[in-house]
Amino acid sequence: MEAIHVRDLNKEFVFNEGKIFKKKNKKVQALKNISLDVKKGETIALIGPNGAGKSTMIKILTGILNPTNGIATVCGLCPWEKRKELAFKIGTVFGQRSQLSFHLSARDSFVLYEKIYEIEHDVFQNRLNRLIKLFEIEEFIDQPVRKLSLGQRMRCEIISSLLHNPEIIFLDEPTIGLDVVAKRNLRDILRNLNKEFNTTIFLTSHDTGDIEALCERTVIINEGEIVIDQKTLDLKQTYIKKKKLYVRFSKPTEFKNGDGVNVLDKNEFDVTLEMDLEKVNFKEFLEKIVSTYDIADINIEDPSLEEVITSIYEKK
Amino acid sequence: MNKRKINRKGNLNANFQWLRALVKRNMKIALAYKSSFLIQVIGMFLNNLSFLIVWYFVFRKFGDINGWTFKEMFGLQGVVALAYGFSIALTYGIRNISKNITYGQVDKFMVLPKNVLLSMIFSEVQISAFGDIFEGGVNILIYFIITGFSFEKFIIAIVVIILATLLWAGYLIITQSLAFWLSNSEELSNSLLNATLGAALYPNKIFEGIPKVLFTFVFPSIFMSSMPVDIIKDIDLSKLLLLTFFAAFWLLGGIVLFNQGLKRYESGNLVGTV
Repeated sequence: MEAIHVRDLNKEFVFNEGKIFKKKNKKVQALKNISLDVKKGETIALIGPNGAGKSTMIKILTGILNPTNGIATVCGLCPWEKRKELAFKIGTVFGQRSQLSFHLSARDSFVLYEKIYEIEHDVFQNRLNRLIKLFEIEEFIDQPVRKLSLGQRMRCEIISSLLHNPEIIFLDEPTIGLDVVAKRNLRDILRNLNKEFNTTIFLTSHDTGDIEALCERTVIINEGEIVIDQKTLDLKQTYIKKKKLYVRFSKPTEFKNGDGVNVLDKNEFDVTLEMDLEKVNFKEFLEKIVSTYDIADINIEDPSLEEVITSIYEKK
Repeated sequence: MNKRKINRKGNLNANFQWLRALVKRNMKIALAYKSSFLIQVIGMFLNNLSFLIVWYFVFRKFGDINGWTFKEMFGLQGVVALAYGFSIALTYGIRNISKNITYGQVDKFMVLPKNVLLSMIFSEVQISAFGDIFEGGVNILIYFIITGFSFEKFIIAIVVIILATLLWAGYLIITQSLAFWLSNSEELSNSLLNATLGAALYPNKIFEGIPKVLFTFVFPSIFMSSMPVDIIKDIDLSKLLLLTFFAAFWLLGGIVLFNQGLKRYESGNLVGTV
């Protein structure tokens, strides 16, 4: 059974526009015929520009919103019909919304979650101890949440959504505002979580680092439609249309623009080239410059995932 | 560890344990700042006391108002302070329903496996309401001392205060749930509360005609203040029955309205969902 099954999901919002006595209804189609299957234990990123429909999608899948029409099951349950039952099986983390009590320690909040999720005390203690070790929060679990750094707080936020051992965890912008070290730690933890507990991870993020580090599959949504759904590794290969080449010559060399080859930067010994792979055969080009010039060093660079995704957004 | 072992009782006991833990957590937050707690409780006590001082001078000048004297004001102040205080002390989230709806904060309650309305109203405590309860208790005590204590009256007083508390809860849920239909109605909800609370602090004998109808059925102040005092004073069971029906009507109406509104929220007219 799939962890998530979605077929022809549509969501339309109706807004009032205009002045008090001349109001008009404006309809916005937030999701258009979305179909998606996610396997148990899969790590999937749902990405897209602002207003693409990511949050709407996550809110429908967690039972917060009703769709206009369509079918969806999460852990075998219809989210908008079985909201409470589903909540026992999923965890949610909204990066910009805290689930912890600001003035109390994280441990105090965790104790409340024991009652919310009706977990037997010994089961709860065992799981909490395990998560404390996995997330390395021993040092600050008893400090008031208001005194924690954002990175420490996010680790506690995620623990609070994992105490009931959910089959799926939905993370909406989990690394927003974190510094690079805190981001890396959090990504490591989530990867370990997926490996150790086989928890399905469904993530939305604007940070491509999250996607590359965590998600084996990427779904790109734009204007309410899925425009790309493929393995994250393949995404770059499929959509890379340009490569950068850094060449260092052994002696001063003059290098000029050619068809499909653009010189971005140069000096006597170095040149930075951008190649349009639709016009240039990369292998032949490389062989040609190696045989033609006296080369000391060469470095090939793919565009970052961020550049790839930006180009996809622009095209679609 | 992969196997979930959760004791999903799904019964009243589980919900009771959850609410108890929620209240315990909220009280822990409130008591984290002890001096603030005391200042708020004492402040509210003094605030309510000022009403009695005003009424003392009013009755000293005018004697009585349609049969009501200053001693009845102890009963009225006691009932209003106790019922309003009980309706928000441990359930102050009831006053923030409108704000939660307007700012899309209902989401955090909807992802929990619990009743959304209960989760929301039990999410906060109001410290100053303990001042209301303390002051209300003192007033009722004084009322019994000066009008004569009887066991019958005492039981009736407990019942009417419970009913008035439920009526307050229903009224607050209804006025706060308007935000499902009217965007950003926080101010409106507060104005409706102030209108009702303000009128509740006057003896109903001063209202006649349309204002009396208004403060009985639209803003149910009379059911929250003067009528309970009359019931205690006269041990009037027919009025008690009327209050029971009225409190049940407003509370059930509030629950129905909230749940209907929640469907609208789910169907997505909130800010920032796209």
